[in-house]
Amino acid sequence: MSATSPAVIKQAQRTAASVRLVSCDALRRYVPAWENLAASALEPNVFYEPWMLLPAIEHIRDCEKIEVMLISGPPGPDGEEPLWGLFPLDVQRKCLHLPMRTLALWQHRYCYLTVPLVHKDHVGQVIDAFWRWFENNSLGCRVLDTNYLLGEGPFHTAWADSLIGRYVLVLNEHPRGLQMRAPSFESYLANQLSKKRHHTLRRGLRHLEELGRVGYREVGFIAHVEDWIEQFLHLESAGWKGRDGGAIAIRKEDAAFFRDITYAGFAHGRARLLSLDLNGNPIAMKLVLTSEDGGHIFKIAYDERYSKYSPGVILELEDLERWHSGSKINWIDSCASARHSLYDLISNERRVIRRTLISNGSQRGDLFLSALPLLRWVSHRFRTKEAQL
Amino acid sequence: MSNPAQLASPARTTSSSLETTARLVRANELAAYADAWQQLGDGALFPNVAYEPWMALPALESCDTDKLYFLLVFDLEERELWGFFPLQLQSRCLHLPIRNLALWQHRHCYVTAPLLHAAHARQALDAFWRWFETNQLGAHVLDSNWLLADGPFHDLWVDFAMGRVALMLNDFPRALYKTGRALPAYLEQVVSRKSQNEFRRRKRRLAELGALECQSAETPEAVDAWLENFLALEAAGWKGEAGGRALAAYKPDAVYFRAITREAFRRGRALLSSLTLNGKPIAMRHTLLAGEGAYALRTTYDETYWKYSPGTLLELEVMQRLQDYGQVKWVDSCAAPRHILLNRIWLERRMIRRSLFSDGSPAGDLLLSVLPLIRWAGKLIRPRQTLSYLQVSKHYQGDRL
Repeated sequence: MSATSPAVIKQAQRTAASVRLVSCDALRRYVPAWENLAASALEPNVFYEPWMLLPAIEHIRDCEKIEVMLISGPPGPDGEEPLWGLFPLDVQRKCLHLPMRTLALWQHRYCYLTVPLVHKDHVGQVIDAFWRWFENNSLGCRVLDTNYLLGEGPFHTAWADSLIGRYVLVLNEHPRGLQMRAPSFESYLANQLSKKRHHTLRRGLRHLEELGRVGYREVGFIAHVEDWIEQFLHLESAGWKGRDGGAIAIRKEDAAFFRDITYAGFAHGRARLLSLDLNGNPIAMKLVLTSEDGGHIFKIAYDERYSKYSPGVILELEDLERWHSGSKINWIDSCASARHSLYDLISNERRVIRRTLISNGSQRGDLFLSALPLLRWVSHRFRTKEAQL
Repeated sequence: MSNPAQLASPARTTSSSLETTARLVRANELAAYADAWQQLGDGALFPNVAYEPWMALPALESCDTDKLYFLLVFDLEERELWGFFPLQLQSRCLHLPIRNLALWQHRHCYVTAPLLHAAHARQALDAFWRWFETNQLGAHVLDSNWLLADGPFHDLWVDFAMGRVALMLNDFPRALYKTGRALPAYLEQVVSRKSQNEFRRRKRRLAELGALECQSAETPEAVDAWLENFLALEAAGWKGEAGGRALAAYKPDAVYFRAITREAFRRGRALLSSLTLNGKPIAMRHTLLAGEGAYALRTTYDETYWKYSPGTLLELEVMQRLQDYGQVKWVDSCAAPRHILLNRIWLERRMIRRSLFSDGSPAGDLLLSVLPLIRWAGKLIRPRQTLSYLQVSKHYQGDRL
């Protein structure tokens, strides 16, 4: 099957988008254009915005080689080429432990969404330029690994259209909690929580209040950010994440990354630092990163000694009430795993995340993706869990 | 990257296994459930008009009912129907001798989302998968045909599909019109001002040829006349050419079309519009209403007037009509991906996806894991003419192709 369908070819003749690979060091000079692009992206992705991606590049080198693809439109009257698309890419020698050069949308360990930034007025041109480049790319990659791409919404439909006729393998697809603004906080709760559940939570809060002064706090001054960060890192490492090695503070570079983005996010008005305090000590905390009209829950932590009062849920509900009374936020992506006990309970909707492998149309890429399911089957059947593909 | 969804255990709501009863019935027993079934259709999570009794029962007449099975999921006391899954047992899958169950896609069905009770959708899907995993029909593979791949239905479906071995055969967007914005503002965003002027100019030119009117059939007699006009107009155009898919070219299709249109009209579910020039229809549009949705089932136009784009002109009128209805939130084009007209004037897209799912048995898992390799080899030997998104399970293409 030919990889390029007639519709794509027709569009290709119209488009004048140019593609350029930029190494991480050269990236800083594109920041202003990049910020503009992020503000007019078809699907906002806070993880690929400069204030989050640059610290990630600096601190978290969990990949072999990062290249950032910039797709620009034809030069305007001032000679400047407008930035239309940005794809952070990770060039890998292996794909699922097998020797196949693969290009991945870069997903570092604190990245929960890999939707590239695509200007909303030039979606067709950008996606098309990407594929034309990828089909004959100079990096020798035959397979694209999308990682955690969004499996719904306007970007997805445009992307899916460009995949027609290509070899695609869905590696996993899962729904995760999404909180969508309801007419009011009360109606949100009424539709989401049963009366019984609501009563239980209220009782938890009452019992908590018997222990001392309960307060909800959102950091409002930059002078308080440092304290909040230290408290968060401490709270998180004291819990199960500290024990199983998932806490941020375990790695020095991760803590540095966390500090950087929290400061930068706060400075840009893009991070909300929240906590639920008991007698002035935080017992549940979360960091929410906001985009244009939505947000992503980046990290949560709570004090396990109080787990029977569900401090995490109390904080969530408190926050839901707050953003429902404001006007800016319309949705919050939980960034949680599928079937997450807290966020499946709290979220009124789901968003589908889909990871796929896509061939560039070469014989070897097509064959690799066709053989992979069988290899995986063999691997799952005859190998131990750790060695599975 | 960690892979939470990969081979996690399939969704299990422990409580729900005690909440449902599933019953497999044959085509001739279905009429007995028609009331409960219609009620389910009216309150379904996704209103799939093709699976409502008045569209599905007449479709049975022109197909092989021996192969059809219907899984009905009730609450425990069997007082309420929660799920309706029409299934077709097929002996071949992608031209290979693989016994499979497919979500039944009859010839006039453009989406195969099963009917699920909006308040009990999870339990109904759970019951379906439990039944499928141990089905007595000897099928290890489920062919979804053109399943809906977005919205709340998809979110739920994906939850149950997690951890199963599956193979996506095709995945395509098709045009969808979401009402809710005033039409001029909508068009402003979709087509250039130049094209809008062009539409107006063509309408003026057309009006110069005679009395131009947009009307819809409002009486049973008008419906009958509309139907005959539609069949004749369609047969006269490119769909009527040899090998084309005009309804009139195949008697059971014409019979079916007349039957469901009359029934839909009787139920107040049909919008039969036409653009007439001196009383003679030059473009016609058949739309079925389904709760908050609508399906643009078929359209046709008189080719002698092609340069005035009568189809587009009528489409714009119908969009306005559907806006005025108020209750209709979306209109499914039922069109092919990259449809020239509707992709141009309709902004939104709906994802349709055909996948195969294993029942979790070693045989099913192995089969679906080998299939991609076999397909790859098959394409090497015999390059396919049709694009993969056009392939539906063999039955759908009917006996004419």
